[in-house]
Amino acid sequence: MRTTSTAAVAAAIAALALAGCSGGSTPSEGQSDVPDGYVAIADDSIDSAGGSLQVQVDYDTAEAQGLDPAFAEVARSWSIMGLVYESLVTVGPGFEIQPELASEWEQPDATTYVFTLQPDATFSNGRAVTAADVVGSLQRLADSGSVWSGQLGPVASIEDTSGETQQVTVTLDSPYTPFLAALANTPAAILPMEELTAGTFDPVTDMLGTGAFTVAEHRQDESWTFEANPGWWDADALGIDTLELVIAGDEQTRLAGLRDGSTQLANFSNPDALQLLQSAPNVTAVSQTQSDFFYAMLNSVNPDSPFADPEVRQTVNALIDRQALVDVALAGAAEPTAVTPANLPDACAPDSVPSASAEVDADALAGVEASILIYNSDPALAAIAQLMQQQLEAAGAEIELESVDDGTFGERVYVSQPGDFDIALSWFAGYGDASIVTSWWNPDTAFFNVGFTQSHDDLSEAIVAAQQLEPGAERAEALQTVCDLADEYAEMLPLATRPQVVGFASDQLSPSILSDEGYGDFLRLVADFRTIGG
Amino acid sequence: MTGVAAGLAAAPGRLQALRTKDAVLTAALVVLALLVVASLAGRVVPGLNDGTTTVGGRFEAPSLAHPLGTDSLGRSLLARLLEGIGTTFLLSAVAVVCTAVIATALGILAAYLGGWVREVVMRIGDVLYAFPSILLALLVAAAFGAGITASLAAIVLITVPLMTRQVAAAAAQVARRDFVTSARISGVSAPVIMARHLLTNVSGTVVIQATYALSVAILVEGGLSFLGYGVQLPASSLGLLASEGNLYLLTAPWILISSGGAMVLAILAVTLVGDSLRDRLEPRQAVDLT
Repeated sequence: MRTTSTAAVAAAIAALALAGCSGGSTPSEGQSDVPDGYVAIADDSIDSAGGSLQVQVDYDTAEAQGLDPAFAEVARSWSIMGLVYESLVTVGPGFEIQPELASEWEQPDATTYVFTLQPDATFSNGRAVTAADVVGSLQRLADSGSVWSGQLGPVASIEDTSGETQQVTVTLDSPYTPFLAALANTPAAILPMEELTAGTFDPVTDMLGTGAFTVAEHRQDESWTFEANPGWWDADALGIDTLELVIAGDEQTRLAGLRDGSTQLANFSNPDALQLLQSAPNVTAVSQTQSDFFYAMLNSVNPDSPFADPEVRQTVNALIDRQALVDVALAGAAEPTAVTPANLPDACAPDSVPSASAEVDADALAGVEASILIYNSDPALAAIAQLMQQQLEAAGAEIELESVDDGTFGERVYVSQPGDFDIALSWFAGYGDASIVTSWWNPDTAFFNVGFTQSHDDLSEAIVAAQQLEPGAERAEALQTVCDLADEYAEMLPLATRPQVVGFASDQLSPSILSDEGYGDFLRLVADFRTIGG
Repeated sequence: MTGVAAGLAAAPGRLQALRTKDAVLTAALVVLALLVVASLAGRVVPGLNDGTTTVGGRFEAPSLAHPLGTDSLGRSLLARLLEGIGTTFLLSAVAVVCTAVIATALGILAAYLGGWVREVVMRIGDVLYAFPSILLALLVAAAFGAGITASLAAIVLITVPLMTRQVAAAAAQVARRDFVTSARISGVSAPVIMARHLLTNVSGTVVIQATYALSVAILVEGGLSFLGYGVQLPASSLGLLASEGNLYLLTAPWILISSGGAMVLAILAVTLVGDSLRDRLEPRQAVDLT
């Protein structure tokens, strides 16, 4: 009896150990005197020369074109590549466009932009940045056929107009208001075109930029090690010497890393992370207001999908209670949105679109059988999917959930033609201008969604028309037309903005973090970070 | 004192020990029955049979309306727990039945045929036995993909080697006995001997090992689901609930307490039933602590 009794006790203890691994802690420290536009601001008085920083992030770059920023399609690629590469402009507090590699720019008319380059800018190999690098990089992007090339707008010419200073002039065929917001993203990074053309630099396998850091080591899906670039044009402002990014896909791992002090900063898509980190000692958690938003793809292209029928799509669109998604699945840390991110100027009100006031029968989806496909690395998607399942089943549908890994999700949604799914959930970056993301509702521009959405001339024309207008009432009205049309076609349904929580060890790190973000780049101001105690 | 006298003197103590064992067995069976009945109630009783619908706010503390509180989506934790117990028990039971069939067949074959058949069966078992159970489960999940199929396959792979070894040992003892030799000499075919004589005589061992396998199965299901490779949302299982409870331990401790408690009770009860069965079915192998 000794053996089995011991086994029973051991099994019971193992079950308890399995069930509980977390511990309690004391209240965290908060940060005061944070200026508008920031949720954390680095203490410049801290001298952290030689400091090293470890950050845990949710996933690694995983692009078909390797490390080439022009072809980067996902947010984490943008933020990681953005440590090495710079664009002409960047985004500051309140989505304001600010200088980066261009020290200044002017817009003499609605279709012309003249950029003056930073005089001290060099690539990390020591060669000075020239206007030819900028012209070559932007022309390469425009000609690349990459996802981001369509976001540059109707570029007519990119010319080296240098005189006493290095200068580049971009001329558009027609006005395109989100041009600067599009330039602010990493795919518009400036590459060393001289080396690229000579064949001594391959952007697919190497990274050679003008930014604050250089790559020391990269182990795919494990870690990155970056070292400070001493030749960076703003090197005096750089607060850390070594930056290690550890890829930790599991949110609980990142929570544990912050709690036990083994990592200094981590990001979370679970909105509850703010609350979960509240009681951790020496940890501060902040929430960024995102223009990024979740959306549902209804497969209108696959004839086997019930959503090939536009009436079924419209019914689903009307049935989704976005406020409930926000309140329950997203812990109230988001807001419902239409196609234009709800927190950007000129955005449509989510309750202004036709589906918001449509009346639907209680059993409107009787007989509809469908599945919701999600990827398992984002816990918020699982919560949204379960709530959507409830809402649609309440109208008579039979809905199954399928949770797959990221690779399978990409294969079934974006690669298969037509897409191999009924409903799929994901999120878009919302960027810094309300009109920029609307391009993804035109599959001729986006082309990653041709497997599940159709091209609609009226919607595509409305998108172009809105993007030509200056911010203001007229553009808001034009964007409302876009929102209404997208809502009626009901192929990609905007749901709610995507919360992002950033936690940091306040006893080891003094970071600067913007309160607003739209490119998924919570490391945007990492050059300003100060480590405490080296 | 003679041996007979000593035996008579010890009789009251043994009787007392037997009564104690009966009480433990009864308690364990009651707990198991309650868990099974509760899980059945969770399938059919209105109000308890809907663990997938939001019925309240997020993380509501236990109350009259929601006796075990609510989870992160405002679902009744009681309904989720009852569904979870049912899922875990059903999955584990199916897996153990599969294990029992496979292990019994392999064990009897190995014992009766001996030679290279026994060597192959035993060595494959040794290889599987060499893997830590959760590692083996993760390998299976990687091969099949996360879900119920992976959990089922993992439990079977983990429990088959030990049960096969035990059944083979018991069957080998039976195979050496006179009545089996007589049957062989009389020309009874091998399949009939294995089915009629060996299987009948190792059934006690199979039942006992099955109870131990059941407790291992509950633990493996819990481990896999806890790590995200087992039962998938929106279904519920004890491991899945424990995983959510672990994340929200400080916010909503009732999730972890209820799911972890149910898992502990289930494993403890199953193991104690196995103990008692062993004392009754294989008394010569039992070691009496009293």
